[in-house]
Amino acid sequence: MEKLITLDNVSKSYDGKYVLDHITLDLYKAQSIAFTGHNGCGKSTLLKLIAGLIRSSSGKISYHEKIRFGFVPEKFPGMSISMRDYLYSIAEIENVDHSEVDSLVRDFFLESMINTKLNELSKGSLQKVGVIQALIGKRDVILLDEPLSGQDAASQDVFIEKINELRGKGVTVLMSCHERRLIDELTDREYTINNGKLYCKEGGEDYLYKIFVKKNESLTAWPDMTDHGNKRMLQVKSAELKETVLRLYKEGWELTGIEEYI
Amino acid sequence: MKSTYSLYTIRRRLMKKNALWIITAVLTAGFLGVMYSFAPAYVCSSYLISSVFMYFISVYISMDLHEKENDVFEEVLLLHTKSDTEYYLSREMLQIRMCLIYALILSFFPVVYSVIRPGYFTRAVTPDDLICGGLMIIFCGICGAETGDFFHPRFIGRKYGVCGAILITVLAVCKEGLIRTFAAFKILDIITPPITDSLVLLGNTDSFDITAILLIVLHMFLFSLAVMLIKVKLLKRFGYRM
Repeated sequence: MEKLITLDNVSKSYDGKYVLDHITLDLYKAQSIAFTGHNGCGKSTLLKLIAGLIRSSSGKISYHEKIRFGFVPEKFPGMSISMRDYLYSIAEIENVDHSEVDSLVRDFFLESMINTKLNELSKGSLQKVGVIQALIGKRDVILLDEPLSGQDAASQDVFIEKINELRGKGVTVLMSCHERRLIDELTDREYTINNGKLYCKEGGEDYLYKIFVKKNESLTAWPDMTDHGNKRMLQVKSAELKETVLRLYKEGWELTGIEEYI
Repeated sequence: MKSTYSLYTIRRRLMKKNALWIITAVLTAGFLGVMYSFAPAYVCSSYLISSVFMYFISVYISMDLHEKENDVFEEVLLLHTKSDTEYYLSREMLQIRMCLIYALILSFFPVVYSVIRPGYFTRAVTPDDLICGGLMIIFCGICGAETGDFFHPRFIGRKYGVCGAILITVLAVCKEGLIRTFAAFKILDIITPPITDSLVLLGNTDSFDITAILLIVLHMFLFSLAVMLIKVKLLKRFGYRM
């Protein structure tokens, strides 16, 4: 596969706190990847680093060829310009006919609002504009940051269809989201971000599990155990799972559950 | 060039109903009202004082424009361009357009006023006055726009940016006195915009020395170009905030 982008020990910190910690990742043409993790874990930051919109605190990002990025931000800003003026101007910048814009606007059921100013649109409609502008023009990599936020079911179907069309044309899709449906229908690999580190779900080695044990005052809690109601919780990589479970049993801990960590 | 123009069009449309127009219009009207209420007036000093005012207005315009930039909106625009140059050029075009509008008002006002109120000026306003004075006003405006925009919130906090712009402006206005007192301050001739050089050159005369004005305009052009290039380099280096 043709390599497009390499992240080499890339870290990003804000006010001394690491959001992303020594991320190493190769991105290839036609790949489709989901980045998952809890809110604020660094998914959007990672996408913006890849696009070159923000600078890493350390490490290096290499682009193996000139790349045209499309970006669907998490919250497309409502500015005082009409949808028509904005999208037509984007089409002119991309050297694309206005008819392509009209077609996308129709597909996303926004025809009746085309003359409405962006700051007067509903959240879902505004997000659709965010998606449409990313689909205008030729793209090598498309970055989707929570792309279906506030969208109706019909628009979600249209969106999935459009993105799969792009995948068919060899466009690399990088997406941050929480929705299982999108991950299953649009991506072929999933990474989780936890404490600034990147863990690959496919292939298992670095995937995370949560182990729950019953609280037992007669046993010394491990340093990395955290309280979880009336239980204690431990996060382990899948490679360490078996060994950790055996050790817990040996020490007398009562296991109450093991979960995949997303 | 077409892409740059389309980007500029987006920015221009965003500015349509912006309160900035009202504030700057009121300030300009106030300035003209005060400035041209005392008769008789000298033609050249009227233009040169207007050029200094133009500098201040342009600093305000550029700092207001960049404060209102939405990072997400700008990120999306940048990714649509084939090169960074198109994106940054569209920003410059918007600032210069706003400055030009007020520069034209300030340049033509004395001409119109001398027709409405003959005898207001000590002598007739000539085409040379309009050209020299107009050039001073336009280029002072460009200097102001670049000075204000240099202190962009992407690489300097708003508070420090405002302080920086004020400091450079104060130094630009006071540099003659500072240089006379301490020769080391000669460096201010390079790092501050030459907005008051023409006033010093004019002295007590009421006629423009075209050669001197052109040299000052060239200095302003080079200053603005240097500041713009450094600013764009810094903006590219720092990227967006979030």
